[in-house]
Amino acid sequence: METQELIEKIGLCVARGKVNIASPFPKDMLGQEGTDELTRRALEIECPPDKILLACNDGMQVIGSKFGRGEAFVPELLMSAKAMNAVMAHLKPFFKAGTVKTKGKFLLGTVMGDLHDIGKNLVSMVVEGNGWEVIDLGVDCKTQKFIDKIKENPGCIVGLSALLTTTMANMAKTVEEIKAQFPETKVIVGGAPLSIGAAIKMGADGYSPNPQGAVEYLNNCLIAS
Amino acid sequence: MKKFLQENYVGGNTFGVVINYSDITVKEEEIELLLGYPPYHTPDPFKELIREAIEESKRIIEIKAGYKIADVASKQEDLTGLTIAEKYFDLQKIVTGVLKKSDSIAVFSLTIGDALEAKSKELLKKGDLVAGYIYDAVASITAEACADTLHEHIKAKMLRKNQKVTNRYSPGYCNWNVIEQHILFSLLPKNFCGITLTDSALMSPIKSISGIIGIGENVKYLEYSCNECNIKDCTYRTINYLKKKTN
Ligand code: B12
Repeated sequence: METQELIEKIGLCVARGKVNIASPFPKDMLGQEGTDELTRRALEIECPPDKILLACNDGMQVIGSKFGRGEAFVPELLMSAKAMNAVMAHLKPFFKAGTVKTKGKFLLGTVMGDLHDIGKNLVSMVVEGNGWEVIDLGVDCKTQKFIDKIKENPGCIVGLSALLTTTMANMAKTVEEIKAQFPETKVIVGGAPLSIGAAIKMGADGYSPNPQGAVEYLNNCLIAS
Repeated sequence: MKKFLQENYVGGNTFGVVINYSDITVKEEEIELLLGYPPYHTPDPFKELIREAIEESKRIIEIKAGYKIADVASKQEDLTGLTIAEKYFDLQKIVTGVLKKSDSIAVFSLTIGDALEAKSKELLKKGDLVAGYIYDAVASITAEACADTLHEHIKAKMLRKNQKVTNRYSPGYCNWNVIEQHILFSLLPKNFCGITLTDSALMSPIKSISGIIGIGENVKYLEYSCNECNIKDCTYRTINYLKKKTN
């Protein structure tokens, strides 16, 4: 395969969520190579890693817009994120060496008093798959934990998750404190009890009911900065 | 109701109910809905994954359920709350309206334990994102199916005494503030069903449900209770709709 063809194929596999030859998804690509094998081969013939990354980004955008149009759902987003993770595993040395860079840092945690984390974890994986470095602070995160981590990671964007209206009240306090100490830091919130109205009321900068919206918000922050 | 479930009396008008997996009905289409798919649109191989997760759930979940029969007092002029076992519940209009005519109230809680959730986390950690997501959804729908069974059981038991039951309501639904979980739990024995409540009113294990059911000769079961609620994009609204279609 030509270099260009290989790179395009990797992008396509990201868009379709084709991870490796053994993966049963998607059905029409059964038995074909996925991002894992293709990236390994691409690097062997010295394809530029930044070109690979660019193609992957395009792939994630394809699945993202399908999701936006209601033609794909969270599981498909997750398959693409997984395909992307396989690429990232091969590109790790290049990230370490600084040849390629992540888009930025996303600090994500479930707020104080809350232990529900499936939603947060899904957001984390999809955002990571879109080229961001995610620092996952886990569950039951006190405000101070966020504050300390923001200090350690200047320029990061913060994401908060909550399950109940009670813990959404804790979320509001955390947003307030972050904004008081770091007025420049962008905060996006999400979780079952939230709405755009609730997000505005607590002074957050962004809200999304799904992981794709988080990706779009983050990418827009790049344009704005 | 085909058969009666076994009960264990634990004192204070409180009963543990033995629910086995064979007593509950977990519907694949409800899991699909929770995953975000329109009914019957889940592609392969995710459908197989759902089935696998259901099979695994049969092996590892630990259902614990029970209820207390409590006295109820209502003031004619109070349309927004009821006094259950001498504790005032600020139930708001929808729930109070349905439960007002009750002679007594069943206060229940149940859980499927945390094994299925742990399995979901393990899969996510391993990078099996969709499988992890699916296991979590199966756990949620399984907990809901247990609530259906417990509800049916209480209904059947009351029918023998010529009493009817209402719909079930949970703190956090129909404008009833979730913070009242604390009052609800104060009526049940400590650690009932192995469930604990955090200060923020979150139950642990996560896959747990609590609530109340009205009992009495003059109470009604409402088929279309969702119409009275103001949350339009609620998954349960969709699930209830689906149930009506498939029943
Ligand atoms: C399934 C479900 C359950 C299941 C499992 C719950 C669980 N936590 O796992 C069961 C049946 C056990 C249950 C129980 C209860 N539930 Co419930 N449940 C739901 C339901 C239908 C879906 C939740 C879910 O698991 N979704 C799937 C996951 C993957 O989604 P998610 O966590 O929301 O995350 C997604 C998005 O929110 C977003 N997101 C999440 N975090 C973030 C962060 C950022 C930064 C961004 C951008 C996006 C984002 O992306 C994620 C992926 O798509 C919701 C209603 C709804 N439609 O959301 C009610 C809901 C969460 N439940 C609710 C309530 C009240 C309860 C109970 C208190 C009822 C009771 N008294 O028993 C209990 C609480 C359980 C406990 N442990 O304390 C309320 C909570 C609101 C409130 N009033 O506080 C809701 C919102 C329903 C309602 N009334 O509208 N529940």
